[in-house]
Amino acid sequence: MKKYSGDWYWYYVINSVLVILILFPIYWTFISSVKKPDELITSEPTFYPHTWTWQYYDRIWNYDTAVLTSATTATNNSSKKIHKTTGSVTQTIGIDDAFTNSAIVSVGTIIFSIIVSTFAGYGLTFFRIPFKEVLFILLITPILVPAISLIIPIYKLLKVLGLTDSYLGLIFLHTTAMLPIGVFMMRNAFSSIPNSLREVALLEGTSELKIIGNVMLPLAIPGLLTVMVFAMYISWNDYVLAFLFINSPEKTMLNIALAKIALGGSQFEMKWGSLTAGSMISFIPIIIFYTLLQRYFVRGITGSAVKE
Amino acid sequence: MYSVDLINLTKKWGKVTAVNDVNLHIEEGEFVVLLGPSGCGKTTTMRLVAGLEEITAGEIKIGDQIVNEIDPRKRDVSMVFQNYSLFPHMSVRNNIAYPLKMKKIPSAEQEKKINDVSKLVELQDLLDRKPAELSGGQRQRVALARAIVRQPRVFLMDEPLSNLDAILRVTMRSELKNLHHRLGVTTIYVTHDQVEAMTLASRIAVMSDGKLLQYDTPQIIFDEPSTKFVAGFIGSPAMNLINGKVVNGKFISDTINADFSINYEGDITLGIRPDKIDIVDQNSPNNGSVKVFSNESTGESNLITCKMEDQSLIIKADKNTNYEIDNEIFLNFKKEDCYFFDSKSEDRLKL
Repeated sequence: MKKYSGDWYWYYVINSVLVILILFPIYWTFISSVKKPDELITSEPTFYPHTWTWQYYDRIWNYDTAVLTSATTATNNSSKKIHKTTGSVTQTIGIDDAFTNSAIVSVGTIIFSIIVSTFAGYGLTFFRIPFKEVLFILLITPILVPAISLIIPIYKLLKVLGLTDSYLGLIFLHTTAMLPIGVFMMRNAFSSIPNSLREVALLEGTSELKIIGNVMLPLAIPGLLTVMVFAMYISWNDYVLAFLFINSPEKTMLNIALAKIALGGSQFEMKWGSLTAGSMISFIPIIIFYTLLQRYFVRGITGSAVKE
Repeated sequence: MYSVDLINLTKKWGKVTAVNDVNLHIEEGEFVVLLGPSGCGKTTTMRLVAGLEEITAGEIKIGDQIVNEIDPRKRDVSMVFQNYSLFPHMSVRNNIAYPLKMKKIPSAEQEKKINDVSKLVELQDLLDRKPAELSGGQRQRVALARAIVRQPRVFLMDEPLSNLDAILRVTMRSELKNLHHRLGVTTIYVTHDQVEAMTLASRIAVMSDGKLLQYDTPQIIFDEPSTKFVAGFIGSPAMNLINGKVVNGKFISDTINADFSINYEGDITLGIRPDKIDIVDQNSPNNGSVKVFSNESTGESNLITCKMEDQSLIIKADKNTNYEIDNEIFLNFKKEDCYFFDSKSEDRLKL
């Protein structure tokens, strides 16, 4: 093993700075979500909460009921009043339901991404296809195109397919956004498996699907898990696509719901406490997922660089 | 038991011809070795038989069936690869059971077959291990067991021993020979190692540049090589090939001058095996004088390398001889030990 060089502490110095830089916003979000209102909105910000409160978590998790009641009572009086009391964007659901919606779309994206990336990666690795390399490059190039620049054609496409304002439509979009990196990773994962393993299975009469299932996927698990983490990340973090293509209040995704709730007070009022509490809740699945799989995640990425 | 026929078999990769019009008839139960240097098309030929590559022209028959268009899954051949290609995530038992599972053989029968085969290749105690926990020789045995467990029509072996160390290679060689004797399945074996080819084969097919040069029993290939390439490839140390010409029945090269009174004129290559060259004390008619370049003792004999102007010569001399480097020695060639090859076509000339 290599001895530590004399400069080893620089490693810690630089990394500590990076870690602080990256974690600070998350820390700030957290303390903002547990501060009492008078401590939260102040000209002299505190770096730790002097008094703790969980009221925002309680309020945001039970948000829909509160809003709906106030909305109904408001409607009884006059339609104009809705606007005044609840703001312009309150027609939304609570984050518990939004959480479920996002979870459905994320799981769907993960499943679709795995299926498509596996087949594409397998074909691009093991089949003899003319212009295979060109095809592969074409497949991963869209990673450079921002989704926002394609909004109108995507909208047209979804309209034609009848998939606007549906989970499935959003799942397709997220899967598409995921595809370049997914195909790239699965191809890398499969490339590290000797072709002769496939040929042995082939000569024993194994169908292509069974080769994938019995031989290839068990050996490509790191790649597979990396694809899962990425798919989760892309789907869970998406704001633009969910904002544009989901219109029904009951199908609102978590990120959109958070924004609506944050802006849902009276005019110019930002509900910082609710927003930060909701954000903390939205971090949970990503943190759990990533913590469980980060081993594979790192291996999946570095594995592409170093072939064993 | 099935025979295998290759008829005018040709495989092209774009403009490169990997296998060039090969005709080969393999008898039922025969052990045929495809021998040649790397890149000669021997592995491609085998892969064509397995169906892993598409045939450009010609025909392959297994038994009476033309298999050109038959999917590799249905050809009923099994193959052993150079890198063993065991499924790393399966235990030895599951690796061996894999072909049986794919054929949906009942598990009781599977169990029996696995036991039989693992006894044959001496793997009984290792069945529950993973391939990563095995040594090279053991992995090779697992690969063999997996190939033989379902009794295919043809075995294909692609340099199965070349990843093993020298001692293990000799052991496995004899195990392979014994196994083939017991099972009697038609086998095609690819190697670049002429010792493996000589010891294992019932017939050897020597290939070079995609062409089949000679196809015969090891002894005939050794005794009667049909081309200069075959002569130089078979035998260890290799046959000496000396370029020269024939003038008035005399073979003349830069240092050797031998009166064989042969009926030929022009450029010619003389081949002689290292152990057939006599070292003599004085100038005699069929000889040449050369300088000793190096002198290596193998224990059973002395290998003497001599450098002539632009070619070298290896002589296998008695172990009790001692020739110092840079000493001049005199050589004697007997005509009956010499092979002659056309310098251009490289074909053997019977002179």
